[in-house]
Amino acid sequence: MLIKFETKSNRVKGLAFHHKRPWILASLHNGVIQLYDYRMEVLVEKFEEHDGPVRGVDFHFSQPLFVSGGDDYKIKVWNYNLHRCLFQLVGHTDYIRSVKFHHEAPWILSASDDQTLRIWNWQNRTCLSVLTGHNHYVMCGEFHPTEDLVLSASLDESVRVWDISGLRKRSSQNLFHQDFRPGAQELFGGSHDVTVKHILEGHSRGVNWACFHKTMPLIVSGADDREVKLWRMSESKAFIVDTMRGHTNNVSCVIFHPKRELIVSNSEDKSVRVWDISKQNRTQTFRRVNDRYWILAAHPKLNLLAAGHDNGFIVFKLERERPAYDVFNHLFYYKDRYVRRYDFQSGKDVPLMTTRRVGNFAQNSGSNPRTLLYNSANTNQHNIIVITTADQGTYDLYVFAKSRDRDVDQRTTESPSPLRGVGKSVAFVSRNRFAVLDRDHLQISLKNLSNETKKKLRLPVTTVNHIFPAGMQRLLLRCPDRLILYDTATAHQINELVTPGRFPVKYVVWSEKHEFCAILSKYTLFIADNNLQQLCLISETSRVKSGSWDPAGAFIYTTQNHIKYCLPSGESGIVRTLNVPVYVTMVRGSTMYALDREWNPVVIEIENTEYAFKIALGSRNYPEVARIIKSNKLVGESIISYLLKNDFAEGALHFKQDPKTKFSLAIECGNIESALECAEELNSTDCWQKLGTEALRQGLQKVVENALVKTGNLEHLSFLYFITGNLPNMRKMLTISECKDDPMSQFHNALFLGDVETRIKVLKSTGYPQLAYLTAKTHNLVDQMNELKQDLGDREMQIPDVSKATLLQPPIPILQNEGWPKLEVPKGVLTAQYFHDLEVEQNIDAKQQEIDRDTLGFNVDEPTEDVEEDDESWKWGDDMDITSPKGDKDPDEEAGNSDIGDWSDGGEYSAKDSDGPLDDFFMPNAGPPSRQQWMQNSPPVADIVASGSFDIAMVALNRQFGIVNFDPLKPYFLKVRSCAQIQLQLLPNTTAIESALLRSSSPSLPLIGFTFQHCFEILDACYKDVTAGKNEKAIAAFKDVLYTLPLLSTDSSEQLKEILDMLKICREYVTALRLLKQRKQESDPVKQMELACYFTLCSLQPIHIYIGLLHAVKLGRKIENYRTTAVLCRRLLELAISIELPANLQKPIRQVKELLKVCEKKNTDAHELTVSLRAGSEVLCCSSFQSIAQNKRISCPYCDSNFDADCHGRLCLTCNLSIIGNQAPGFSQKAGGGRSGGSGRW
Amino acid sequence: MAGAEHDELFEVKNSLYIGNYQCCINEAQKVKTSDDAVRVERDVFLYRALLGQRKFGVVMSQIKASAPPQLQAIKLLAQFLQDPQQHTSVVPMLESLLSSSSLDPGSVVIALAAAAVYCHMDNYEAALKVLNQHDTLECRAQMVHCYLAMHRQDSARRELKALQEKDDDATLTQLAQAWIHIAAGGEKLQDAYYIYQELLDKNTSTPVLLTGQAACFLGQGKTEEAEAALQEALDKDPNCANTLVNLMVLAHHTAKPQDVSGRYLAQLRDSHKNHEVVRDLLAKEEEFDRIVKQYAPVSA
Repeated sequence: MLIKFETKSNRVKGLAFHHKRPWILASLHNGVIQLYDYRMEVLVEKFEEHDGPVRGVDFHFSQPLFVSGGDDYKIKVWNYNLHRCLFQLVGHTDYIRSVKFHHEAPWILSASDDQTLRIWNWQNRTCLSVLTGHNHYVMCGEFHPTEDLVLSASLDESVRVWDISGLRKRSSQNLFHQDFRPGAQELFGGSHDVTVKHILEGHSRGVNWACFHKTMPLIVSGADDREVKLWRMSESKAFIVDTMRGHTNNVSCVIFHPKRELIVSNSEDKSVRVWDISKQNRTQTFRRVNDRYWILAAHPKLNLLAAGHDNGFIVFKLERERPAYDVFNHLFYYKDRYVRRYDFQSGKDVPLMTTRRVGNFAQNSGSNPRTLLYNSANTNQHNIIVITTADQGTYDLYVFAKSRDRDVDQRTTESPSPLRGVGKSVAFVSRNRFAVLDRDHLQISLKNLSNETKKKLRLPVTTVNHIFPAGMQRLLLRCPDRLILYDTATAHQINELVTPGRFPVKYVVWSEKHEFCAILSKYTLFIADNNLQQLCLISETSRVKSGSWDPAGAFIYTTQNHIKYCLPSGESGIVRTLNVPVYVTMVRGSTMYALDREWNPVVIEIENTEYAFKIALGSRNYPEVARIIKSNKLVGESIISYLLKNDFAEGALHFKQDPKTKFSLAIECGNIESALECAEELNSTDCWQKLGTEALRQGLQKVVENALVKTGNLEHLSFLYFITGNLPNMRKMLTISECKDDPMSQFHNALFLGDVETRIKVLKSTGYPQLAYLTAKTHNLVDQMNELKQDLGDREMQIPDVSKATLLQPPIPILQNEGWPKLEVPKGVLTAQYFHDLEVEQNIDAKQQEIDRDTLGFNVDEPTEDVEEDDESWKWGDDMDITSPKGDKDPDEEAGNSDIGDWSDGGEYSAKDSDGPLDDFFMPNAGPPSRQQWMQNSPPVADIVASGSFDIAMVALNRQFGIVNFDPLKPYFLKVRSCAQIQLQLLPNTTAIESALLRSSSPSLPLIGFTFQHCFEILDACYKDVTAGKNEKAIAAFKDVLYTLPLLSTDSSEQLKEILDMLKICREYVTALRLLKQRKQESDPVKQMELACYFTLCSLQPIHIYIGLLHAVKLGRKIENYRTTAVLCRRLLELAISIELPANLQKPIRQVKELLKVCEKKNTDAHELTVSLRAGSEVLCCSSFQSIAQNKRISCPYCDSNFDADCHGRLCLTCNLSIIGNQAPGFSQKAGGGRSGGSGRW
Repeated sequence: MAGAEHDELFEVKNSLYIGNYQCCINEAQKVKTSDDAVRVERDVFLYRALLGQRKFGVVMSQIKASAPPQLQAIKLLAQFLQDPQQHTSVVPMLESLLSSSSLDPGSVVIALAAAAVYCHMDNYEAALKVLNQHDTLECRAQMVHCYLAMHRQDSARRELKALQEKDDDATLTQLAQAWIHIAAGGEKLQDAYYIYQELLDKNTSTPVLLTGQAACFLGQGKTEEAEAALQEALDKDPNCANTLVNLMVLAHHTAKPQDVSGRYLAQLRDSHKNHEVVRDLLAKEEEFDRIVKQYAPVSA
């Protein structure tokens, strides 16, 4: 029995649950009717109008009404919303024992000591029928929940079933009749409307209570003969099915359990007993010490019962409704003897295994497992522990393989058999260990998955009464007043958390990454970190039921009536209300998964914006904040005040709708755009002024201008135009000031504009003719001067002395309207995110996808490496055809072998292995280092280098490319060599061991530190360097690639082709850059011209050829070789069309066009050049930079650069590796084809 | 270990094994015990942790001539580690220590010290012979180490089985399991990663654990993660040779500019002259130069 609520009061004689609200009515022996909220555990109201004991109460199922009947013979109908008694029904002549509403008709049934039952119509407040027949007190009466039957129990030792179908018929036909003749029924007697259907006789003493079964034709009754009888009724008769004995005093009340096949009875013997209908035996007895029980009531919908006794009443449940579940990726929960697995994503719910039966009454007696534990540390197997509290607590450990291949459904038949142990407090501590609390011996047993005890740990504190899991090798030990975080490996107490309050910790929920734990007790919630440092504490008024961590970091928990959230920072709030408690299993975004009280997985959509927002804000995750703001789900003042409180005006700005506040917020965080918007809306001078000031500060002249225009501040405006050099607008200002007749500003504007005539005009018109004259004079405006002189003379004013006057000219604005340098306003993180988050998101997505694909590909490519494979490698001795550098060590090893014994026979060896007892230890000899394995099967050069056999590698390179000068390759060799292995420190004080890094494409070969990608990147960088004229840097980088290429491992012919392409690129560029260098050193312009021409013939990127052509054109004109220049010009122009050029390279095109015209006109060459300009027709010697005759051409065996035959035997000047003129197969050999023709031709 | 009482030195040992030397030293200094044997054992671990921090001089000066043979062995180990050339004098002394105390409980320490010296000299056979006399977790783990260094994964696995039977949960068993996974490579790397992650979760991160995890990442081609782990390791101990080596390798693989890897190498050469990788590279350089001469290029 789980008591949920308990009261203290006078004797309780009547109880009634409300259908919807968590209310219960209790009528007391002292005449008071109490209304309690059993969920909040408070007394809602008292009704004190009855005189003497009130024995019966009942709620109406839909109206805000209840009825009561007492020893004052009165039936009172109350409206609890109006807090008063509406009316009373009078007629009974003795104590009223029970009152009940009909479930649909407006009827009340009352049973009384006057030996009658009465049916009343509470709408017209009349008595419809008097049921006579009992010849002693009628103790109770009730309507059948669906049929037209009434049941009554009486002290005359009988139970009666009455048929009221006649009454119903009459009332529906003669509605009017009834209404207009109240009390007619009593006159004529109602006996023909209500007939006795069955009289159930069998009790030997007075019957105190009888009750219909909701759905089956069953009746249960309890009597002073201390027996409970179960009756079955048919259309024609009713008979005893069973008699339940056990009560030792009068049975005062008996009811059917609303959900289970159980009968619950209580008695004056101070006990409540539970009986099983199908098994006909007593399953449980709950006793009180002092109080006799008087009444029972069952909640119409929920799994709740109430029992009234001498000193109050209790609301209780017979069994826990909390499902046993655990969550790890999936939900694992118990239902109907199965452990089921629920997939959150797909919603697939499958039984995983059956559990063994526990106890004798698996279905009924609360023997369902209390706890289910899933081992999240074991990745290979399902480890499930099911704990029941039966038999002082037993746990069952189920271990079975996770088989991905088979469908889970098929496995339900072959359920694993459990390993059983005693203990109700169990927790997994690692992949293959779980801890069991053994309170009798004050210790914790660590057991393995075979349920064998591996270790025993003494409890650090004797009061430990429960253990909770706390991650790897850790436990939380619960003492009455605190929790202890305990390390099972060191048997140390790591930390403790004091948990005040009278309620013990019930559940501990860890976040997914084990950063935080939530500690739940009945009314409190702690959040602590993984070292049990308390982060926050929340107190609840209703019971905390369950919780789960949102991946973002919020703890979502349910109480009796709410879903709430709590952040580690202590922020908390309500997510939504709940009608019935649910048990949260998982929260993913706005979806909450839970188990309901029927143990079915349910999905509840929740509004997660509020806490997601707070988390995002707390963790400064502004993209998320921006996203949430954008999606505009958050509204209301609360969030704005929250933002302002947290010093985040910028965030608040995005919520604020009221333009005035928004404007000041925008100004505060310097967001001119928003401010402008608001200002336009508000359009008040004050706003514009503020905006103008702020915009001026930031240097946004357009906004300043706008603001000044709006405020009509013309002076400032013209000054603004002046300093920004906006002459046209100043002219407008001049006009405006003229119109406004404001000579001062007119003069200013004219002065700024340099408009002398206007100035003179203004001065004249405002009465300063002398000044006007002065102005005219200094500007040498003779006509006006004369005019003014005349005027002055007329007025007899002195003509001013102009000898000292100097000319005043306003500066001419150079940069007009190009704006000012703007003040760098730190763009609010949010605003920045506001515009860019989408882009970023996409990038991240793409990246993520890429990563996913990579990892996927990796997994797929990676063949499984088995033990067998390793054994295979043991045959190396035979296969080795290349002498290893460590070869000279072998004889030693052989010698070492001999005294251990010959074990070349692999089979024998492995047989010995499997036993591996200590005694017959024998010394194995060393295996081949992985480096040696890389040398097998004539591998690519890179692998040879990685294995460390430089000599062999060099032989190979020499053979293939004719390389003789290895010096440039030295760093490359060393890099490859050091790239293939990493160091792994195992134990302290000893050496590290080497661990080979292997290629994912062929896992027996080493990872080479050079990749194609790497080369491409270098080349890209080179192109830019060349364009920028960083030639030295570029040439070094091209050579870098040139030296890398022999060490690239190629897997396919495409890759080989890429190598050849890169080789060509490097060769051409190195030559071209060398030409450039040479040209710069050359003093003879004709020679320079030639070199420049050669440059243009290299196969380079078009842009580089273009640059080369520009140089050549310039030089050509200089030496007056117009014909050649014309050819070059044409090439250049052609090229300019086909490629995109940066702006600075486009400028010369026009000049070139003009030059071309000139050249075509002249069409002569002043100097004879050795170069002809037809591409592909000429071959250049990379040494002398002269054309070579076809028959004298030889080349470098590695890079294929061309040389004159004179250079034979010299080191190639391009690659510095090979001897010119030597023969070697080069790269193409591996491809199986000839050398790609044409490459290297000019 | 079933039913074993709480080991006072658990934290001390565990810290040493995962390479958290400072923690080991701190914990060792906290241990108060009246039991002489425990005290000596504690000192052994304390000095070994100091060796781990390369404070060889401290160890040598602290261990007096009157100290028990275990500590003498540690002193010899310190001598050797400081100058590997001294093996000619150190090895015979260790061997005599071994033979004179073959049945003492303290001989385990001597065996381990001897094995460490042998391992440094690449004489794994001798190391194995010594280690095999003792059936402790650390000896077994050291044997796994030897087998792996000898490229004998099969034997290493057999030894691991013995370790697992002794104590599956022990840190050493977990570590040994991880080494074998890494040596096997391929899919096993993920398992190794899990082990290191578990250890990292449970303890503070140390260069040993981080480099181990980085090895898993590197093997799986996850260079970014590897770099993060190695950088963290470097932060913890800026002078850890293995971290530097691995960072250098990583720099090569991620195509960092030459000077990045060059810097790591220079750092290695500067402070770890005797490190295997440094010696190997030096030897290879010399070898290269020697072989190059055979090709005697014609000067251009």
